[in-house]
Amino acid sequence: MSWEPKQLPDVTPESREYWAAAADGTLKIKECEACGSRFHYPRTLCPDCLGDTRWIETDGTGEIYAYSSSMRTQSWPEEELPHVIAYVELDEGPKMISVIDVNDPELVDIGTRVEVEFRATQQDDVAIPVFVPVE
Amino acid sequence: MSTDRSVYIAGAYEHPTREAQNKTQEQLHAEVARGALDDAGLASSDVNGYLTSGVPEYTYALVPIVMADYLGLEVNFADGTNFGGSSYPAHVKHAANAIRDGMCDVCLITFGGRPRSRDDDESGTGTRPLRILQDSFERIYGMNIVSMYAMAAKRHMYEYGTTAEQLAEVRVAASHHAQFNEHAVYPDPVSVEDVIDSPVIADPLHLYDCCSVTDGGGAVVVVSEEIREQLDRECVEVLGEGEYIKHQNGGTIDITSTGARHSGPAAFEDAGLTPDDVDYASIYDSFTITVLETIEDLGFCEKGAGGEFVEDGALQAPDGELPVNTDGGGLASNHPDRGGMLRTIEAVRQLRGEATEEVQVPGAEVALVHGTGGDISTRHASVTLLLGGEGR
Repeated sequence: MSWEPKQLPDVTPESREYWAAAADGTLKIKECEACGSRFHYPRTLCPDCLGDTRWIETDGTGEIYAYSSSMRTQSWPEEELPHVIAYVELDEGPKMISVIDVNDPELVDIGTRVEVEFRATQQDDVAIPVFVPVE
Repeated sequence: MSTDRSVYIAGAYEHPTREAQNKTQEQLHAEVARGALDDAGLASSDVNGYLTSGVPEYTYALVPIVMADYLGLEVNFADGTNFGGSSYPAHVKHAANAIRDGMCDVCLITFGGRPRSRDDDESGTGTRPLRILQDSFERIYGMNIVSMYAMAAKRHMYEYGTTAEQLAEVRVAASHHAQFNEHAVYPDPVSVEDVIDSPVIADPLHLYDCCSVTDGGGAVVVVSEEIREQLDRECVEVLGEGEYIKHQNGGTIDITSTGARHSGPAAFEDAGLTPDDVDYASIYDSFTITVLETIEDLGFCEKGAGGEFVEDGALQAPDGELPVNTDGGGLASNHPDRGGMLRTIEAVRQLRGEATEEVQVPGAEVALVHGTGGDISTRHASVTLLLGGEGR
């Protein structure tokens, strides 16, 4: 089955461009103009040095750093389980939490190469990044 | 007030309930406050410092004010540090500092939670309200606290070869201890096979790798040297403290270790002790992996060797190499949303020689308490306390 969003994120002045870029098919992260640090989730000032930051486009690719298949949880509809929560280490550096959208959790392992896809929401300017194994 | 820097835990009380449908959360606080003050031989009018923090049904920042009102306390010092499950060991440290600064000499710390009886809004729809800003990048995917700890376990297995059987040993030790605790919610001993055969909740964690869900609470009373001298009760000295907030660090986080790597050495240095000096350890056991990573990070074994360390009953009292959570811990005895207070109380029991007979560590003189509040895959507060018995 395909992973479908169940709720909208809080879109804030700090994150609006992130969600809008996702709706346009791009995964963006932040880069510090002062120290060059690249980080996720987005913040206006750099968590390394509190310097100013800019958005950069990523390739949307990376590898799985850690994952877990949720078999039983109150926080997701039972008929859509299991679903695979993961930390993806982006090729640009930072690790980000997401889901690996696969029918078969056996396809997922630490080190598996993945690429981003985007799942639409009811709001035109908000989409949710998920990852799938690279064919 | 006090000029001596020695500070003591003079009273400790764990609520015997594990299900409190007909009690309010505030009532639990009051009942444990009375229990801990009675244990110390003090009255509520003696209290001049108060520390507490909220649990999910009651989280806003006014908590110490609201609860001081409810309890009728007259205090010159209050602290509402909210570190989740590690709040209460942190409160012991903060109370000790306030007493050393002369702000007060009798600090009451209360905790109560009723997740078992609370109406839960996690209805299976995935629409739990977003609570913190990070939820928009994490919770919206449908993860929960189990899956977050499960990712850490998965990575620890990958890097260090840790096995599900080794994680299970942590639960086996907890259940071994719980069989002697008349209040434990899960008093039946379990085997490694029982843990492995229990349903997978979030791979690789099984049901028995996860802590219990109970209603309950606890309280401790922290006092100055001058107050201690007036009391008949055996007291436990606060020897050293350390705290550290570990987080994602912009996305460079290593989830195979915890903030204990920092809070532990800080506490040991503060006390002038080493891991070899510890006779008993209360280690927050939200999940089996929490204990395993913490044991490594506190220096009881090399990083990555935790799986091997916990084999062969190392955590089991009275004879194991490092007896841990002799009340059965959060895994098998009691976990009312947060575990740090109850970990502290069992350490006090051990140092007073008042643990259950079958699990009392003979001659226990130094105990370690470690709290992990938050989750080890994203952000948490680690707090380490070292406590000493009177015979020391």
